[in-house]
Amino acid sequence: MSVIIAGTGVVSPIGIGNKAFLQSLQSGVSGIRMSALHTVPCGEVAREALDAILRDRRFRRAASFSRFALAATQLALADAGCESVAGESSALVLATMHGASNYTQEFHREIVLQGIDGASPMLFADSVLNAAAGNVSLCFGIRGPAHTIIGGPTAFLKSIRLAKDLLEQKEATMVMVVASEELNEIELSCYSRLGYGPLAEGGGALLLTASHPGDGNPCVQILAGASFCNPADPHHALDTAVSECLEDAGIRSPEIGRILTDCNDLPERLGGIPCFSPAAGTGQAFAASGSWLTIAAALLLRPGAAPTPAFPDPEKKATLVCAADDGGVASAVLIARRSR
Amino acid sequence: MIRVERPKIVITGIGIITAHGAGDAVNWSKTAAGESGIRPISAFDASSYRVNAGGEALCLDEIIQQTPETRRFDRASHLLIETVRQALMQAQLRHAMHTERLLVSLGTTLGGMISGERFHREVLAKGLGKARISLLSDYYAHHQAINLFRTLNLAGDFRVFSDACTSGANAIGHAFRALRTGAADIAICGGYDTMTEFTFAGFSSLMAMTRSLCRPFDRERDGLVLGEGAAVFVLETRDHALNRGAALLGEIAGYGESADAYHMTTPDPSAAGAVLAMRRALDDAGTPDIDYINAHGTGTQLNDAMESAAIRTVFGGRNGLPPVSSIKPVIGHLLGGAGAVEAAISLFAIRNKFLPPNLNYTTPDPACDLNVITEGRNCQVTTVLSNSFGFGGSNAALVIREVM
Repeated sequence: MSVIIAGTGVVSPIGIGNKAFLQSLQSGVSGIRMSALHTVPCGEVAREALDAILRDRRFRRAASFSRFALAATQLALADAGCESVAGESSALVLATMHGASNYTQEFHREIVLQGIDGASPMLFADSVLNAAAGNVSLCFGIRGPAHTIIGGPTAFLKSIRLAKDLLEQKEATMVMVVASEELNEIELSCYSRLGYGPLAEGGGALLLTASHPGDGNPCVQILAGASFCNPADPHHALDTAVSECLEDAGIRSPEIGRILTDCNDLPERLGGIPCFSPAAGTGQAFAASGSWLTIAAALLLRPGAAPTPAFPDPEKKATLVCAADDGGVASAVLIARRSR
Repeated sequence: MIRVERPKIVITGIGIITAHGAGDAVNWSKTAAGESGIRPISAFDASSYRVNAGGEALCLDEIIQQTPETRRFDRASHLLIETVRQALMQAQLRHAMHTERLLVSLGTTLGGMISGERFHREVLAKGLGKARISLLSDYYAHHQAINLFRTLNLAGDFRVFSDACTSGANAIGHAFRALRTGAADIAICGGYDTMTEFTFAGFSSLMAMTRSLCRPFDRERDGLVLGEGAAVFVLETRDHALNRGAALLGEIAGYGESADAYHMTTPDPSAAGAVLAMRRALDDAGTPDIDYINAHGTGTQLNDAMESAAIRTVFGGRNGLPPVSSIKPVIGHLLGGAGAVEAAISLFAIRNKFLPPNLNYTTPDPACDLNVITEGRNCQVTTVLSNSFGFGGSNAALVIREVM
């Protein structure tokens, strides 16, 4: 059995939808700019374009955290040509680090400044970290496993691994893997003070399904995923995650054609392999960035994906996606084209 | 159909900290006795709230091992670390860890929210530029796991689930599956959450908290009481545990999960999602007879009615219903910690052959026509079903069993 990427959906500062995202990546477009809302340059999602995708009025007041997740999921379903994922055999794994930070901040502000009588229950309900997963499950009728995994870009890669496990253990027949992050003024200020940035917001989604030999057309599959944490030695954590991933997939480093990563300190075994990152154009969006790395990798591997000078066609078919979070956390996922 | 034999997953260490105290002995004795740990809140000024009681783990302040490295940790990190210390000590694992493939699987709804609140109060009082960023170093919900790794010098994989009130149960369930498929040798799994004004205000704004006593399944029930705490299990395959001479405390026999896809805060009255999770857990465990159900039992009108409907659907008529109790009246609703703490209490019930009572239950409700345990009693408990249901329509069930 293979785990294949049946569809992808992107909500990013450099474009909403696979085509716009890939074209911007390939042409080096930047989505980072000063805006009316924020005091430092950042990568924002064009809200008017989002509204065109989200027609379900039940979520018109949902936090951006939920709306990005909903839109990305909608786009991934459309990309997969899948009308519905409703049912008990569908699952959802959503990755985030910050959740609905604006609603969280606003609810707490109401408590502090106005007391409990001024606190809005709607803000609280939509501020819980699994609010986006709850809303995606609700919107699309996903009634199997539904989880929220917390962390930065590694959380999305861990979510892919969890989804793969669910499919292989037959706990689900399709899994929507989603990431979502929203911009918040406090976070922008803090990360800027710490020297991070520019930050971004948005989401991404992969629809993963199980496929058997002989099924369907050539496609992109998830070969393996691994993660590791070693705060005492972050380099060892990344090296371990990568080596476990390769070992699980039965792939050796020379068989990797391309690496999608924001990591600077890659293991020596990966030396010489071309590396790419969307972050220069999108900004850093934590868990959502993990989704953009993976989606970029998948789109570039799709049959028919035209090579460009920025992204030449690799001679080999496997692409490694890897990420690291502060604290010595690292994750890796290996994807590849699968022939018919 | 031939059922493929899967390795048994056993519990070799338990850590637990709640309003009752730290450790299995005090948590079991007080729960079995129906002793309430609910007291006036001390963590923040609750005088302006209609409700001002909860189950705070006051013992934590006495057992925190404070060092220069840990002094910036949020209360959540200390809660998690001290609970894991207990579990590892009982499992006799401290020096074997680096040679094993370790998975840490944790559940929390809030992470380091207390630190986040402190930071935001400084922002509101002094301005964004003057608030101490260091307060955010342990705010995010995966930071406590990293602090755990750093403090106990661990290396391995971790996942942090934030699935509202099913977080702890899901964390245990996924560790159980990972061990069963050979993805890890040892798992440290469980859940934790602290008492925060943010959550207290949240549930207060939803009018979800009781103004008197938490009375799960009682006709006069009017809401939940919050608590803080944590529980952690050390899990491994039975063969792995026996090979290293570990004591086998119990077994995780099955796990089931689902989503309602109904409403963010209101459970599906049809109980379809809860039934699915419970049935999946029971099927996973080989459909054993259930001697006791440790209910989610929050004491809210809607949850308890839904859970009652689910239990009756799965187990049939009243005469066939296993005895049921919720321990939330004695320690509070621990949110991300609830599923894990209640799984631990379920295991203690098995080991002590005793059914803990459902405190404050005096008036039966026809909508909750269950076999409620009104007084604790001796019973040959070998297999327990532990339920957890949460915001976002999340449902989880664990089957915990005596080691055969």
